[in-house]
Amino acid sequence: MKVINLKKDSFNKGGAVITLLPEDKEDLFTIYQIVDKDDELIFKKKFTSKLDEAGKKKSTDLVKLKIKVISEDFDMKDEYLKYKGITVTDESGSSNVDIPVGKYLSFTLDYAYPFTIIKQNFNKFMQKLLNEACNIEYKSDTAAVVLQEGIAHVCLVTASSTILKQKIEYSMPKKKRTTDVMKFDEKTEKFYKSIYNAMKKDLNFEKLKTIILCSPGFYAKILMDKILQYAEEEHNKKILDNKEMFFIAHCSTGYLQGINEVLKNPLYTSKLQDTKYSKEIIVMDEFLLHLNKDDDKAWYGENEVVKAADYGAINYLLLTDKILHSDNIAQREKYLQLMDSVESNGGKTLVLSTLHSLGEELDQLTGIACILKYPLPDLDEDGEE
Amino acid sequence: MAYSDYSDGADEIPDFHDEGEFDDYLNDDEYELMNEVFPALKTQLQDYQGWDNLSLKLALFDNNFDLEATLMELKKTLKKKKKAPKKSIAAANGTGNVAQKLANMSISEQRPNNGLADWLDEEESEEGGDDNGADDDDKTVQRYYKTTVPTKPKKPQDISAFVESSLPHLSFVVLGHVDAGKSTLMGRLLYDLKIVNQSQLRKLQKESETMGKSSFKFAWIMDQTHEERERGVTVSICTSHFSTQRASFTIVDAPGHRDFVPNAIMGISQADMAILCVDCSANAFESGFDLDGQTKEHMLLASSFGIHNLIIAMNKMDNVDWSQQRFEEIKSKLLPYLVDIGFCEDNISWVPISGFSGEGVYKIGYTDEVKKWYSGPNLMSTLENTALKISKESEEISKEDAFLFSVLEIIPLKKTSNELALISGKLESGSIQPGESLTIYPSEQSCIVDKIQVGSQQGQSTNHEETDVAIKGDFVTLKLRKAYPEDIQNGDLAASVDYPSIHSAQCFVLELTTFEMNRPLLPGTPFILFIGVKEQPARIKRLISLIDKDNNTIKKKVRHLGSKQRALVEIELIEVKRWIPLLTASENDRLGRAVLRKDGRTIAAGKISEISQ
Repeated sequence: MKVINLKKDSFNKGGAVITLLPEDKEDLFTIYQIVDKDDELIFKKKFTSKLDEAGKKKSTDLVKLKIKVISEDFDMKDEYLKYKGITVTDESGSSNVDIPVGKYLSFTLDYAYPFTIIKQNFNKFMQKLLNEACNIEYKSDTAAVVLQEGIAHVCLVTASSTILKQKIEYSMPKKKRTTDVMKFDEKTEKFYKSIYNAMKKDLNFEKLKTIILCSPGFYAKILMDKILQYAEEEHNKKILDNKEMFFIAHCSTGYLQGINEVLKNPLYTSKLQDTKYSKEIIVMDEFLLHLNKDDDKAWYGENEVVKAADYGAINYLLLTDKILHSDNIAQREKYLQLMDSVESNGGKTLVLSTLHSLGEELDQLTGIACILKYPLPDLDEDGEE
Repeated sequence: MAYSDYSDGADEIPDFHDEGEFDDYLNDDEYELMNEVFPALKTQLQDYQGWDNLSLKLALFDNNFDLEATLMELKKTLKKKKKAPKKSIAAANGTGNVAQKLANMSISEQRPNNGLADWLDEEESEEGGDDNGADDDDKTVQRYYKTTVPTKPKKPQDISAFVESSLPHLSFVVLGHVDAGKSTLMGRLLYDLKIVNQSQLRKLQKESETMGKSSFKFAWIMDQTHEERERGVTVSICTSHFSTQRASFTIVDAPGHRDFVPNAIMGISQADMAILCVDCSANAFESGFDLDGQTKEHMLLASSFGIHNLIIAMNKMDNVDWSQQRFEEIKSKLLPYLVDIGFCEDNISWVPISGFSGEGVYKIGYTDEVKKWYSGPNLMSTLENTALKISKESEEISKEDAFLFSVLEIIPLKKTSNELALISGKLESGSIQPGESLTIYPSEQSCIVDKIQVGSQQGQSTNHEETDVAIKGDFVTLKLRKAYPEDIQNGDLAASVDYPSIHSAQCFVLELTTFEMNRPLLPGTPFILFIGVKEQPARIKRLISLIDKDNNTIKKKVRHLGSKQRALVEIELIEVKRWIPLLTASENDRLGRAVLRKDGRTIAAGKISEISQ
């Protein structure tokens, strides 16, 4: 993402005017987290207007529009972010020329033109999101193929999401003493071939840093051999030149859970580069470890976490993006203050994306959790009364 | 009304614009027949909408003027779309257009049902790229014809007479740590039974020698795939059938390697009892019995899935010179554990054997040396005894029970025959005869059983026998009419049409017992759920309460669940494109059980106590 201009409002403390150019889907997610209802957007859009009354003559111009956001529509998988809004008056007079106020318009983000967000409540968390989005190091994507007999998932693991690109499912013939082995082999071959084709279709080999192939047993190893074999056959340079980005790992299942299993396995963490997500997985695992030990150092739920924060005892605060982007503004403010208080006491905050399975897990777990610096027993007790 | 009679010609019926035109097309006999049946059909369909006279007549014509078949077909189509006159025409075009209908259906199926059985078109299995767990809201439910009225068997048989006349049948699964010799033992058994002959074995011996693995010759009878042979491990379960003079058996060879425990679970869920294969060689038992060995996990799974009878095959006794001391040593270590996880000591038999040399298995007897300290029966006799015992126990129950069948495999048919399906699986209870109807869940389609095949299914070829009746415990292949096989999957359940209580759901409550875990269970914790032969990613939705062993609530507010606790827990599926059919443990002891695995370990097991609607 390119931040072209960021001007904080001198009168209103939380106000800011930000001009941005998103560059990839990660940026869309960042913007999705920043823009709230009632924010104003200034953007350029091709706009068709009728020149004569019959509507026969039309002209399509690139016009500058300003809208106030009413609703949003976001899909990470399709790289699609659209805002619906209503045109408002622009004091500067440069946008909404010839367009009446109160007209409903939509704005689908693209990577071609910069646009401007006018916010009344720009906060530290959003600032941090912007900074992260501009940092190229966060941008490296990892692909993962997790498989078992007859089932494979081709996924993209980015900083903020796990995107299932394709699920391949073959019903393998059941083995019997009299099974035709040729038939079984044929089907197996087809299975690997369709994984290969899915990878070719859905992964951009030049942009990826690592492709993790993981499975129970030896399926990942066979897949690796097959990929190279198929690539040789069709002289696929994109794959053959990037052989070293493949990484074979072991996990216990061919379902999506297998990917997290690999990312948190200490055997692999040193070899896989430090992604934001793998860090989150490790912290979350630490949280679970404390819970398992029952050492009163891990808590979840709003009341408990707020109490722990009052003691200044939080080492890690874990939140989901969902609760920070909730429509309840008072609620949101409360969490932001919580983050501030934790950080001022030397703790760290992690915002987990609910587009990852981990964030989804936390979301089920009230969306807020913490790891403490020292044990605090019975945080949940008087909450019951 | 057999489809093959007319399906070829069905395409040739021209299009008709109105009723009169169609009446003209019929010859005199047909016209009279039509006038006989048509009014009855019309009155029957009064509660349905979206048909006209022409479409009804066409449908009748397509079904060879068989009133019932036409009704069935029309109700199927008319019911599902309430305001769809178009659909009735599609239906009226009848069997000629069934292929078209199937195509439409499978298109609409693709969103809700990712795991479409791909036999219809082998090339078509690459779908689902656009689907993931996230977009579960927009699922459409395909409705099929469902009835609750049973149909009569073609040649009614007396079930009790049949049960008495037939040999007791028993299925058993062979479990144990990797390299304990499970496949070799099974190969030996089949060889001694002469199911595998000398020349086949010689061929395997030659093949295994060329790969430098001559000790695998028996195992390769069961392990046939390239991967299994090259690596010397069993991967998938392998079933085989045989009978002796006293009983008939289905054996399921399960993989021992920890990575393939899901396959072993599949084997366990099909079996009535288990053989635990133990490698008695020095240190081998110990390494398989420690925390990460599969001996314990397999036994835990067997116990969790409701297996009560165990035979411990003390294998590779020849490696320790048939030492009684070693035998007793292992027994003294294993028995307390087995009792601890719920097996009853009286239901466990211990047999010293050598799978490779064959002593103590079936044909080859013990040496005098061994007879000094072991006077019990050999493995085969032990199996027969157990079979008699189990079948006696279940005889009384099986007569009255309603039919219940778990689908293990949908066998692809070469040609896409309309509304025909072959499903193989196991009768969990009751009995079935050709001509009777059943309903398959979760797709809730009612089908008629055309034929029942028993014995080994050999790919596409048809060298299996037909039978007039199948009873509880049998492994059979059912040929179904009026079925839509693209919406049948492994692990689906079939039941008699009047079976009262199979619910398809994505949420249910488990009485859960946790095992040794290194991470707690929390709301949202994902894991892999196993119910019968079904494997599904799922997660904890809610921790309801901690309970004691009599299911009394101890504590209402549960924040997390640690090792060795009992609790009521609500579970939900993660990929909810297709619901799964469920039975509570009180309805069916075996199918109402579930096991949870995470990160390659079995972490908990439980019984389904309530199914959320």
